[in-house]
Amino acid sequence: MMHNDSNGLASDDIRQQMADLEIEDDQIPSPMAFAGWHSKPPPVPKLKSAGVIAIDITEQFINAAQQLDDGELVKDPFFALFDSVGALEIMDPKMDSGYLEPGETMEDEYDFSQPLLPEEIIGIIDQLLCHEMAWHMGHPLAQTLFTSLYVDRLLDPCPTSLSHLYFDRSESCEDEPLTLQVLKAYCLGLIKTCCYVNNRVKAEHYYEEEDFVTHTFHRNLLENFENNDILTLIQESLEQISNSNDILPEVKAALECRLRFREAFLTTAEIAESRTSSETIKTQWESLQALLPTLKSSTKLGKPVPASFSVKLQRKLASTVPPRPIVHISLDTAYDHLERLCRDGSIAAEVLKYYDSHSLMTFVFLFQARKPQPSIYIRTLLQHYLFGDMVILGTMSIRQLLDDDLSSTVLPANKILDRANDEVELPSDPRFKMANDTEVFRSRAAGSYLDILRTICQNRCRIRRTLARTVADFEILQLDSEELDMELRQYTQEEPIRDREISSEPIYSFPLSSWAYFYKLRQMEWLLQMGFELEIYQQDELASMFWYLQYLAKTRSRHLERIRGFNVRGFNESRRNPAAVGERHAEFINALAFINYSSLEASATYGFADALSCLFTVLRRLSLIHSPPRPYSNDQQRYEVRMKPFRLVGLPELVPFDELKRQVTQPGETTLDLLKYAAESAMAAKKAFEVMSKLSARDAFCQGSYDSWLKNIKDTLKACIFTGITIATVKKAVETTAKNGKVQIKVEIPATGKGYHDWWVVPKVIPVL
Amino acid sequence: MASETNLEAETKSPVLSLLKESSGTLPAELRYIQYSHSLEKQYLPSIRALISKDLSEPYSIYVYRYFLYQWGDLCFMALSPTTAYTSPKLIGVIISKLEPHTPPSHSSPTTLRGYIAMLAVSSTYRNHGIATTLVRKAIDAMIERGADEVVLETEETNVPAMKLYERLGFLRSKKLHRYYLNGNSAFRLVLHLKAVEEMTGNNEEEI
Repeated sequence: MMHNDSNGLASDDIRQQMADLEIEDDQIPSPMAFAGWHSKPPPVPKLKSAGVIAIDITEQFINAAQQLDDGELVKDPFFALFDSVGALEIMDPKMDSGYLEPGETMEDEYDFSQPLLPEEIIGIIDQLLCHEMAWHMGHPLAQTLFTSLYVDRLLDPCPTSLSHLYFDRSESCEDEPLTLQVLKAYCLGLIKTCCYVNNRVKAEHYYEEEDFVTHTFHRNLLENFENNDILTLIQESLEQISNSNDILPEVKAALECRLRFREAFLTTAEIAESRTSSETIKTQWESLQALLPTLKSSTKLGKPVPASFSVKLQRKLASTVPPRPIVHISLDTAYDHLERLCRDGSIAAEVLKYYDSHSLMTFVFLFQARKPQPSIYIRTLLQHYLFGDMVILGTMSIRQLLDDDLSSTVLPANKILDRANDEVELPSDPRFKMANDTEVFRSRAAGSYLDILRTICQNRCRIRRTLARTVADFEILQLDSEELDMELRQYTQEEPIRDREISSEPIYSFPLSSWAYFYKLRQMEWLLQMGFELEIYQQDELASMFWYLQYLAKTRSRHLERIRGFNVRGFNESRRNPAAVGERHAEFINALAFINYSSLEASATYGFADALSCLFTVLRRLSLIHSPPRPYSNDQQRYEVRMKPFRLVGLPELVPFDELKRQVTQPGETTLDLLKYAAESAMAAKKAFEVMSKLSARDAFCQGSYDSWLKNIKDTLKACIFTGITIATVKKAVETTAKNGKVQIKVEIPATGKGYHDWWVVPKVIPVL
Repeated sequence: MASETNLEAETKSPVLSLLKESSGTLPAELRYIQYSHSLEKQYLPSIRALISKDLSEPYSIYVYRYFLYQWGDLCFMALSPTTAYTSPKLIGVIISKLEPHTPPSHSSPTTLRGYIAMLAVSSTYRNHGIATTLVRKAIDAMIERGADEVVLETEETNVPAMKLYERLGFLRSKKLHRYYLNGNSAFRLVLHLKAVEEMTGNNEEEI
């Protein structure tokens, strides 16, 4: 993309030069070689560190080197790949940032006293905006904003006061021209905005270099200066522009609009940090966005000043990194990114309005699934809203959130969660013990639960990879919770269900481990589904992957049945007690509503996945999907690679390969029977998605993100309908060409982003004429 | 020797791209030879030149030596035919390593893991299956030394490379966000050479 420019430089000449250098490199220098440079070895460096004595080892080194054969290498056992990748070759222009071409100077000779046209200020400001957005997109400051000589001038040396800060450091600078004052005010506002962004990203969970580069190369981004002082400077510049008579009105307006934009962006960055009011934050982002059209339309007035940006500044910043090109993104790309930042920032703030724990998770999930995914700054702001200072959404304790979730799934109106238990001081009292055990559980489970939310806040690739870890964590949590469940039922006097049809053993509810199991299954499904989105699976794996998805969704559905059984029993008992009041009933009704919703969603998922699994199996039977020869691997080994994240999961146990193969290929079924079954499954799923699409936000547990939720369901529904059509087309093709043996269709599998929903890979069938 | 933990995944790499590659007829008299340190002077400059061509940023000599000095026998070169007037010309190269790998979380057993670090074929010789032959030679050499698995990364946009590896049996195991310096993402590709239960993490000499 942007670094490819440097590829072109590897001309034959340079390569030849490099090759020549290499041959000389192989020679171990003899004492004579040193003689060519100096009459005697350079003096021992003066080290001024207590306890360190420097010794000249030149002679020993040369003697040792002479013991080696020509070309012999000695490798230090601790010299690792990392060291080798970090190493540079001095005097190689592509690696050595200090290398100077003949006649080249180390520093730029830029004249900061030169007057600039107002149009040039617009040009520089717009270029700075491109650099700022490129940094937001993940490029280092050294290749973006820090290539500006004006920005560099303000940060090096580190300023101590704003009032005596001038680009032109000559003595006659008191009369700083208006244009430079405007540029200075803008730059200071820009740098301070970056300071907020950088600090926010650094404070949250993100991946350095992958998501963002927080490295400031030892420059201070005006950390110690007050926002107000910078905003005052911007205000003063605004006043001076409006008083000025020698600037064209449209140019004047363009400069004013840029200063107002910067003022608004800086204010937004400050206000976005507060978690008190989502409305204030939303308004702020919206007013920032409202400035963009004027900004955009006046871009054409700008005159670029390319000389005020220099790739050479990197030499001052980091000497151990190869010189890297300035990143150039277009203004359109920059405005697009900025517009999205405003939109996403405004929506992210809506998370602060809490409805219930499930709606919260739905919100985060759907927000992160926006396309393109919200940028890292917004994603870290969201994390800040969610967990900043270990206070959920700025108002709730972690316990409150966790208890909300437990009571709306497995423990509605249950005495285990009764806050009054905390007040009991008698250690022999069962309520004391309950409070104790529940607290043990909370301290164990809270981190795991919050990790689900935090995982969803990562970039899409990391979500999938991290889920593999959180699934393993929930596996252990489930096992740990089983012990607590058994202990707790001594204190709750839980009566088991006795049902000979299900089991001869008494059946206990195991609420805490049930809860952990539910979330483990959810995460296993998401992990599989992220694999579809990220195009991890090969075409001939799709049948198995959809089979596994329906297997997991079915398992969840059965598990929810179990939970429902206990909730219904509890509800019935509670209703028999006339003393039970509305609040307890509401808790039961709410938990049952959630179980119903999740069951509906699970059944839609397994129906749809089952249909696709059968369809892909048919396509393989018809040789419309091919498998590569794969001389180095077999099905069993590839299955182990694919299922690695689930290898250590005890429940549900990994389906053995032979069993999976039988289930997926269904050798006992005819192709037409498979298609019939697929059509029925797709139809059942379609009905379930239709029912879902008519639910209220409350019943679908998507309060606060209903519109995104509905769009997601509708996209899934479209994919499901399209699957039905594909199945019918294949069926027709099979029926009509059964005699000559070859079906007259071909299959295309849409890439991610090209289908109706990235989690549902639906093949497209095209007739072959 | 000190082994790095999953360093491949943690280090930003310049992009190594491999353009069109498909099986076809090989030019006659093409020679494949295994690298050894004694060949450094003769071939390292052209190896570097061939590989740097597709890199956004060159690797230092230490990167090449890191691999070639320790695992020269897992590195293979394709050489064009020699005539009376020309010396053999390097047209393709594969550079790999093989060492015990312990997953960070100890969730899986230690394996003897092969890693294909670099693969390049001169553009005029592409489409003749040279890269496939080089990869097969590297994998064969790893198998001989008891490798349990082979991994590598490839740029998400490099469809020919992914096809090449997937034809041999590799699967994509994960996607790595913005893995390369140019901002492109990568796929990690994995090939298990044994059933997980039989993976020992040992190489033959230690058995």
